[in-house]
Amino acid sequence: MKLSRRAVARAVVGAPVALLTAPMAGLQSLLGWKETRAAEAAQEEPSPTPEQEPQDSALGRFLAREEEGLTGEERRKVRRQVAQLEASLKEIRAFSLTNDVAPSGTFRALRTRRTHDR
Amino acid sequence: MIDDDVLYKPITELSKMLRSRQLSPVELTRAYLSRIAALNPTLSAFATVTGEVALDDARRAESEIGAGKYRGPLHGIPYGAKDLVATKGIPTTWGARPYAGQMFDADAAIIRRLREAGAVLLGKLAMIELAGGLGYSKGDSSLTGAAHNPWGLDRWTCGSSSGSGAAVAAALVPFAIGSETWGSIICPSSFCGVSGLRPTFGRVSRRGAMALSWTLDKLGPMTRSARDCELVLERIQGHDPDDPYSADEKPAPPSDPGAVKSMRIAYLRDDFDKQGDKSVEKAFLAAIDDLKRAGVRLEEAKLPDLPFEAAAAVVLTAEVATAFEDLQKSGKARDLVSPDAPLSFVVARAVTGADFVKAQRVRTLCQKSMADLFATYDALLYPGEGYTAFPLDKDFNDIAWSDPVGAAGNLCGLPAIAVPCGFGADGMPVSLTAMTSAFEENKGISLARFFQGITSWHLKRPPLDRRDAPRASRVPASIAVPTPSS
Repeated sequence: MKLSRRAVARAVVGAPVALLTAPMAGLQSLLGWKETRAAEAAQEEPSPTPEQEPQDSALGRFLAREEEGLTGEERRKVRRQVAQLEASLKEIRAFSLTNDVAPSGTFRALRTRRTHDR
Repeated sequence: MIDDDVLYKPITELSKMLRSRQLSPVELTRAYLSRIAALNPTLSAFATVTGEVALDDARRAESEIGAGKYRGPLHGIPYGAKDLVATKGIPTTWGARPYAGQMFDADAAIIRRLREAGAVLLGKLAMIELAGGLGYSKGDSSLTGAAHNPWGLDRWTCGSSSGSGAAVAAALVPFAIGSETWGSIICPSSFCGVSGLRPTFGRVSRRGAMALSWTLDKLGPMTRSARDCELVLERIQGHDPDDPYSADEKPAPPSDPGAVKSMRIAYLRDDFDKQGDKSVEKAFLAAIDDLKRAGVRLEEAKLPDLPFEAAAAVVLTAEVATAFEDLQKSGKARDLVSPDAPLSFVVARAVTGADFVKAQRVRTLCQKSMADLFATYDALLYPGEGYTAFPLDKDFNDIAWSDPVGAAGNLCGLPAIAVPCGFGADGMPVSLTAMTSAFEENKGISLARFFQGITSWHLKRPPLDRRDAPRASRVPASIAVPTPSS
């Protein structure tokens, strides 16, 4: 991985709003993706620019407070990093999916490997 | 006596010289070891040099080639491996202080395959600690300190395959093994001006390699040319039932630069008004023009409008937190160079189980969307990075560094190859990158080989050994490279 998590969060936070609003008709019809998703996401969660990156959140304050052994500066960093990660989480949570979209990756039952037949 | 011109040769040429016995594997290995001894103190590209093991392997290769038992184009070719692949009897530190003395009792699958191909392991290459998994904001976040870029010693190599990029660029090795979770082959290849291939997820076995993210990690070659990437891929690819994510697919077909003109190829334009270096855009567009003038059909396209970066960030955050939970429990995360590393476990608690599953569902959509895109196009071209190599003291948090194309490729497990395509205004390398559909590495390699057939960027050498080089790029006279002795 080339980026720090903070940098990744920053990069995601910096995604241009215009990209979130472009239509994808073909994919929507194929997978049942709701057309209103992008517009809703853009209205509910306007993407901040890097200059507007979030510095704090309720969850960040909670996690920073609950963790033992952190310095004041580290608690401040946790609050900021959680706030940045939450930008990605909000984007994922706001994304509408229909029931037919399964998680990527396939769970398979594991066959027993025997060295000889019984 | 072997001079530097030989050490800068690609595998394709070295292998011909070895096979015809114009060149001895032992002498070649000695020459690289001599160059490593001279330059590694400056570059910090190697974590461990395995001179005696290498010479033993080289003697074996020499004996076999002499007896007519030629194993193929990697036979007798020296290489280095990123220090996250296990090597029996040689430390495997994962670039991190808590694992400084770590030893494994078996080789990783990729090391075994390269040994079967007759390649000669020169040592383990420096890397960002834990491949950057717990976060880092400085290039020196490694057990071995910062790797220095051969094109400018005050510049970073990018990470996390930092030593792999520096070693290939400085001709300390003809090829290196790197790994990519998100950007760690493409970025060092771009910053260091070498050719790097990120194979399809599952194409190369990761058995014995440090796990950072089980669904994102890939191992791949970094070399001096696209053709060299293919030669290495041919020997390291293949199904491995002991890697649960290994793909049971046929090997990639051979590349064919002659087929490029019949391909439908698109290119993506980053918005350099928002971020990046305009001179990178200029070099990239010049490369696109070169391809058009050579008769390649190119059209501009856009990446599908999907949250690639957000999904990749959530998946990665969750997987990394479990991959290194032993460090959290033992408190040894505090021993890492990056002061923020221990905090990443706390931050990861913001991701719920539902978030992770949702991100994996979004990933499904992303995969289908990219597969559809590649039903239209054979390859997508884009600048490997929007910047040239950063100054070593730069804090990455000060850089707006969005990477939606890299996120799309890695989230969806798609292959990509980066090759040098010019230089930025600061004289540092810029890359042209080709991404293709899953298991179609041959198309990207074909395109990269075609490009390298009409340009000579990949033949440029860093100013390390040149007296006219800028001061920051030049090795001080006191440690100048000696002529390798025989």
